[in-house]
Amino acid sequence: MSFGESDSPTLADVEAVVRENVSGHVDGDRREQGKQRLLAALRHRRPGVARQARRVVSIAAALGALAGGSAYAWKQHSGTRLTYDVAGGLLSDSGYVRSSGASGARLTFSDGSRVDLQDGARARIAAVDAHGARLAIENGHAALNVAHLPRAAWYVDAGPFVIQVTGTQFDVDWSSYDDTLSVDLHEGSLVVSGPPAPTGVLLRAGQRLTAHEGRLSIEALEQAVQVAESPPLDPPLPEPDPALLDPALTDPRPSPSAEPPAATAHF
Amino acid sequence: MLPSSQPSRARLVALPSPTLAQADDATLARAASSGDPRATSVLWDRFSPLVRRMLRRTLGPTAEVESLLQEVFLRALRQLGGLPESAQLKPFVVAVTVRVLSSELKRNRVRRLLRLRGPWHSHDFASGDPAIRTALSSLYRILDELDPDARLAFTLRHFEGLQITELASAMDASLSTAKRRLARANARVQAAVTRDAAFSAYATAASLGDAP
Repeated sequence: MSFGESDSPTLADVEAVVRENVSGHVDGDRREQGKQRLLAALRHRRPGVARQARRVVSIAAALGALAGGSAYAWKQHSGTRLTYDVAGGLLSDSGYVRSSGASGARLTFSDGSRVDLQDGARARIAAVDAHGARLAIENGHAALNVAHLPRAAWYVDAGPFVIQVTGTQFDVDWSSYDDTLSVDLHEGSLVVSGPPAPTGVLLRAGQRLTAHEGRLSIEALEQAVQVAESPPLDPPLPEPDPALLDPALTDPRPSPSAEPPAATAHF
Repeated sequence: MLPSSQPSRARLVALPSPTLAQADDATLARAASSGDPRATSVLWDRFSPLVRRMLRRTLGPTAEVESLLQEVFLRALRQLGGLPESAQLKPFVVAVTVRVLSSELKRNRVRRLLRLRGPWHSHDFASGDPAIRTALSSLYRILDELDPDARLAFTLRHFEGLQITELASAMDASLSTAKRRLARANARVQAAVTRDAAFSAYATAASLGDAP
């Protein structure tokens, strides 16, 4: 490191300490996750939304000015990022969480959302804001119960996969050893994107998604449980459900009429 | 999990098309503004390290950096359609990043005034060397005292190495305004780091070769 020669620090010292220690480098997985998040956001963006959003913001600003002190206090409160605490686990300064006992660790967020990490699971709280958090499962099993609130935005990273959540209950199992992802969705809906499905796949309540070796499959959760409990069968694979291949259906809003598919769809 | 008897398949990874990956700025801008995801992918690969670095160096290592990175790209992609044919992408992306940074610095100022954001501590920084972490936390506390325009001028000039003309263009300011902001920031940072015992001690140790 080259620093100024005088006793007092110079602006060259300031430049050096930042240039040499603060970079824009991130690992390949994280760069890919960012790209997938951007592509997913672009898919969900509708033409004219920006103009509508600007109009809404203008009206909201005018109303906000009229509302006075109480609205100001409310806005202050709503802009506060979520807080969380950990029971049964260890939390480092960098947001790394690991269960410390056989019963696993529980993360409880101030909006009522919960994440239960099974014994041995490791995760990192990558980011938290007022509307949700970004959680990276490094290995193991996690059960999530995300509070369904307006503007809720939660993301779960598992290896190269990104799970986009608004409010739902689901289990995630990620094995970094053999790069296998399994997602069991109990309530609501969510979108999973990753190398086998760069445009994202919509998962509905009662479905299980499994991704392994560049292959992704969705099956009914009940059926998956039955298969797991009965002797292995080798039925012919049905045609993929075209509805699941339609990118327009990656809208994460749950459909009341949606029924879990009766059979397995492979991608 | 999948049965082990299933044949394993090679993982398919989408790579940017060689044509777009090597395309000139105008072609890439046209493709991205028309909604071509491959062009978006190339733009991300080409510019996300630069934008992330600018965000981190200007704001410090906050949790908001990744969200702001997304915002920069969403804004840039929205505005690409209006970019003149002859325009270069890098100055355009830098200018969009500067606008996002400017808004965020103003929001941060309000957050600090309302005590929604505390001062920097050495554990906020990832370096393995405690002396570097302490120096960086001192420096970012000093930068927090600058007004957003002066801070942007300072970081773009000293951390990103922009020339004064590039700086003025990125900040959408006249040359004389940019010079005035930079001079104001230089004087305040110089005075503050000289007064700051932790930063002075680190700089002295570094100049004597005691620090990495």
